[in-house]
Amino acid sequence: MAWYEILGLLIGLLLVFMALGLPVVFAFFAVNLVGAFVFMGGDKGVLQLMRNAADAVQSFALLPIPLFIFMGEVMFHTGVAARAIDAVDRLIARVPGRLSLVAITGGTIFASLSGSTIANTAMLCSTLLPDMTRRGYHPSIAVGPIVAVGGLAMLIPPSALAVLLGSVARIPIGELLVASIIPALILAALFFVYVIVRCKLDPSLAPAYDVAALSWRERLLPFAKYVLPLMGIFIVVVGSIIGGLATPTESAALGALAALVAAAAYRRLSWENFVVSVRETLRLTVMTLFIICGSITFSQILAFTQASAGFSELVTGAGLSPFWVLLGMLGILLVLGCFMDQVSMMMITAPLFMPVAEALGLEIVWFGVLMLMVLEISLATPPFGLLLFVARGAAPQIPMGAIMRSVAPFIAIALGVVGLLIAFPELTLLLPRLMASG
Amino acid sequence: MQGGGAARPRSWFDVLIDALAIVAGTLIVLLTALVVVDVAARSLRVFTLPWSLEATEYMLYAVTFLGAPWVLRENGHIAIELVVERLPARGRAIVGLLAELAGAAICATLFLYACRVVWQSYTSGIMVQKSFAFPEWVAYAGIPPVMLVLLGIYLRRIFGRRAP
Repeated sequence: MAWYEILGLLIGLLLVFMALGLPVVFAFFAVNLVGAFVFMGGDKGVLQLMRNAADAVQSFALLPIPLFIFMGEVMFHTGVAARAIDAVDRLIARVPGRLSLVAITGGTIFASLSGSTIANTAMLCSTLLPDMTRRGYHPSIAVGPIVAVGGLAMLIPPSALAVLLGSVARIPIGELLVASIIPALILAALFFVYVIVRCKLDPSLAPAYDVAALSWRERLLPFAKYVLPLMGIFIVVVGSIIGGLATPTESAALGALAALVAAAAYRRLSWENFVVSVRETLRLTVMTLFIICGSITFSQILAFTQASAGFSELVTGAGLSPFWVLLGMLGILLVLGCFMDQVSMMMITAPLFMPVAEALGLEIVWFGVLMLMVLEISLATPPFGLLLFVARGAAPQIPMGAIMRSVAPFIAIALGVVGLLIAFPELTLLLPRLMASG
Repeated sequence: MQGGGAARPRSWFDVLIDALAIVAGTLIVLLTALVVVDVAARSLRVFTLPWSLEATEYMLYAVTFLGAPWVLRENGHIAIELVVERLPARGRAIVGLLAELAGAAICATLFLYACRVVWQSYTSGIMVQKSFAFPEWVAYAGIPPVMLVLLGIYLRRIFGRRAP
């Protein structure tokens, strides 16, 4: 069989199993059982698959995943994050689309403390959406910013999915984590500007309301008390990576401890919310890592059957400029993102794309950030954008169609930022270079 | 680790799944504590735990497999229901059954091969010689029981179905 037939067969089979509604981890296991048996020496191949599944998650590089998720869950379930949002709420004066701006600012802050996009979105939905609905905010300006900024947790460290991408695509994890910061901040700033402009043009989207008159002290004190100390955690986590003082795993452990200490210091830590935080961390960790167990052999089958190499040769030998190849790869990711979860996308595309990126001489950290950006966008692309469902769960009164329409402008902005990052790689590479020189 | 929506009677099987999840959750806490203690002790130059890296790797492995049945029972594993949702009720029931049969077949196959890996490793007498020294089969021994529990969850779903 030619490599492209094998590739088509494996991916086709995977899509069929996924379409049945089988959990993606079992869809991967199924395809790998077939692939290992047919292409990797029958029985011997399947036995190797079993060993791979067990060995896949025995990796120090993956350890930040539960720790980063735990940070976010602790902040969320102890109510520390909600208090921080409340402090941001007091800080922002009467401006058009005020609550949406609170969501963007608060979501960006929480993204710097949480490695989970789901926790970020759920937290914003639970703290801000009821108030937005009560005050007559149109879904397009209420849900859109929340889903858009919820995804930022994937870009701003601590980010569990960035760790995963670094691990499966062999991109230095520390560099990938810090390289995503500037793009994420640009994105947040543009979301902010968009909300203001949109609400200025159409004030009915977010009816103005009287904000309680507060003194400067009343505005600033909660911010200093409930937000600034949390920013300290971010500085410790990211600073220790940039400064080369700690590995991502070590900084993640410090971050997890700091989250617990912060919750205790604010007297919000209880046995109940601790257990809930651990339970949700377990759920997301197992969900993510078990897919790695199921799918790890996929890349080996692609390598063994020469499908990865064949794909790379085909693309690099087609005479296309690196720009078009890059655009093609990001386009494929974007399409896959409409139907698939982020972990599956990474496991399918990394073994195919990374050899191409290396053959074309693309800067891999930059390429990794572009992949992360598209993966982040696909959290919100219909019909399968994961965060759309989180928002739908939190606000069942808003039809799915309205939720999908509400995120469209934010997706357009994020695609614009991808273009910006392609045009100006320095925006991505500045911090990793600082790290290398430091 | 009782998940949401469980109005069903709690069988020994559910208790077992919960127990595995509780062990996994406890391991997450211990894993975090171990990395924190290791980093603190090393940077303060109090003591070093040269085995901690390897221990945390095994813990992560155990967390993943011990937690997997609980996540499956709670429908927490990511599944793409895009196509299924668009089918009429009868079609949805048929495809749902097909998916469960496929899930059961996959778990059964994985169970058999996991048993063979353990046996192969046991008879070869291979030892893991890193920070900890132990027979290699020990590292794989947990997989067959987990696959069996996953198979049990699928079988319970298949036989617990009502006609649409």
